[in-house]
Amino acid sequence: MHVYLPIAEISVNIFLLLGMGAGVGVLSGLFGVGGGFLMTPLLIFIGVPPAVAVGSEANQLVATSITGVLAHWRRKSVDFKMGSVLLVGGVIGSTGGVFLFKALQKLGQIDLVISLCYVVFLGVIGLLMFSESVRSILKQKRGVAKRGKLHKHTWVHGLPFKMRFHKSRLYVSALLPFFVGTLVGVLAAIMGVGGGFIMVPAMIYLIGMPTSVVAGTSLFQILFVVANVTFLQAWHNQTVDILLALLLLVGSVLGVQVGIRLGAKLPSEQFRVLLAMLVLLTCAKLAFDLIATPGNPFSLALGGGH
Amino acid sequence: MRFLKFTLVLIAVVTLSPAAKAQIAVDLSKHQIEITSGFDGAELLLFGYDTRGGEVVVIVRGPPETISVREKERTAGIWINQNEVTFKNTPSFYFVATTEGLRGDGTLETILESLGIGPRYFGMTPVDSNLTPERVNEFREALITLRERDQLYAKEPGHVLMREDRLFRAQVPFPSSTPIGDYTVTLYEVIDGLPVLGAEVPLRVRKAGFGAFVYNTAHDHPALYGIVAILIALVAGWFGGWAFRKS
Repeated sequence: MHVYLPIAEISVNIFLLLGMGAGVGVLSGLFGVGGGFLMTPLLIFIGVPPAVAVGSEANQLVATSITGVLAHWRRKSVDFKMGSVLLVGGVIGSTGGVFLFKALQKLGQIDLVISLCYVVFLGVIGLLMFSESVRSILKQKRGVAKRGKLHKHTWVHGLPFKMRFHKSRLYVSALLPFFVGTLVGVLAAIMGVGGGFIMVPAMIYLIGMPTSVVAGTSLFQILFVVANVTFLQAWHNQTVDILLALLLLVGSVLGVQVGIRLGAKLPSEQFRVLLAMLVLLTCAKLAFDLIATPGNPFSLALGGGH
Repeated sequence: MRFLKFTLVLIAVVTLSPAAKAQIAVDLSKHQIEITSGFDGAELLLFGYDTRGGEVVVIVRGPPETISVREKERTAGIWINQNEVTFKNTPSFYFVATTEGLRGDGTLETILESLGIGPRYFGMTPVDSNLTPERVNEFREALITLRERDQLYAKEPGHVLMREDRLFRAQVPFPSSTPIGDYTVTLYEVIDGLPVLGAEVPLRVRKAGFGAFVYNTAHDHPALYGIVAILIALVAGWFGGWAFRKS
């Protein structure tokens, strides 16, 4: 059964969209990631124009992140002060990102930039995740629990505009979360991702937040950033397909629940290796497409460079 | 030579049209294609009669567009869009069908060339390009090939079937990616190797139903559309979380 997507202007099998939503949803539930980094390339792969894929995926991520934020709010694991600083950066970054997207589209280079961003970030994150989870599996096997230093003093702590974050039990420069938020905002607008896969490691390793508040706080920021991207993409570029977002949503809402239940039963470290491999596989596929000689070097763009 | 041909066609059209009108007629099974949420392509039946029982050519054209063709080149190991040629007046859809007598020997091609229609003879003009004419032609060919791949341009001419030497019909296929707009369906009667305008029928392709509503709102009230999109997602996400928390 096919459904015609009014903004993407293509006809797609409805079960394929529901299945993609469910599949990425299961992974989201299993690993606590938004799944945008898998969904956006998948959408582009099935023929959705990149701009519509990014806009509609941002729209779908609004739904995924509100579910997460509400759950973390009830558990009181959101640092609203830290989230707000991240958010100021996020709004600035994503607004700039949407305009950058439009400019690159006019130059005919948006597909290239999207692919390059994915290759770089998926490659780095995938390798980090892979090596870390392999290391912790080995550690578990050896049964040695080595404890690192509690506090390391680095260049990060020399930055000005220090602020106290009670919930995170931190006294750090506000510039740090601001820049992390800005970077994630730009990426959200260009790559159609929430950016959790970059923000979570940055919060833990760079800002030094306790892991208990990381997930809730990042989701809080992502919620507003993807809402901002949705609004700007809809307002400026008319590239948000509500029907596409809704169909992906239905699948993912169910998939996430399955993933969470599955995650409770399965050994998480082994599965983290699988996720890392999935991330690296996506990265390799995109890198291959950039390097391999294309079947047809020509492509069409409506409207021209006016 | 080309000019002479054009003049001849013009004379033929002017002198023969009134007479031809009485002897030839064409119509479509539908004058409107509605792109609804379930749209997955369509096929229209074109039919008519020609009392002379001669050869006919049917041409279906979509509204003209401005389109850019981009070419990737390998730069520092990766393929990057480098050159771009923009063409004006390219039909968004093109289909041609003909009776058996005009197939082969380049007969149809000659007729189309004299009319200035058909993928290779479009009036589509490159907008200030600094590439050589040969290179521009490569881009033109690429445009045609890509459109053929998407079934927006007919690769091979379709068949106009004649019955009892006067009734004819043809199937016109439209892919799921059919662009919206006002189309023209033109019938030419070929007399002594020269095409004579027989009849013209309008055809409209438009979005309809829920899809049209979504599309129009997105373009007419983009800010409102954005806010509604966010609200729908918020409600759906909240509801999803709530439903599964209870269970």
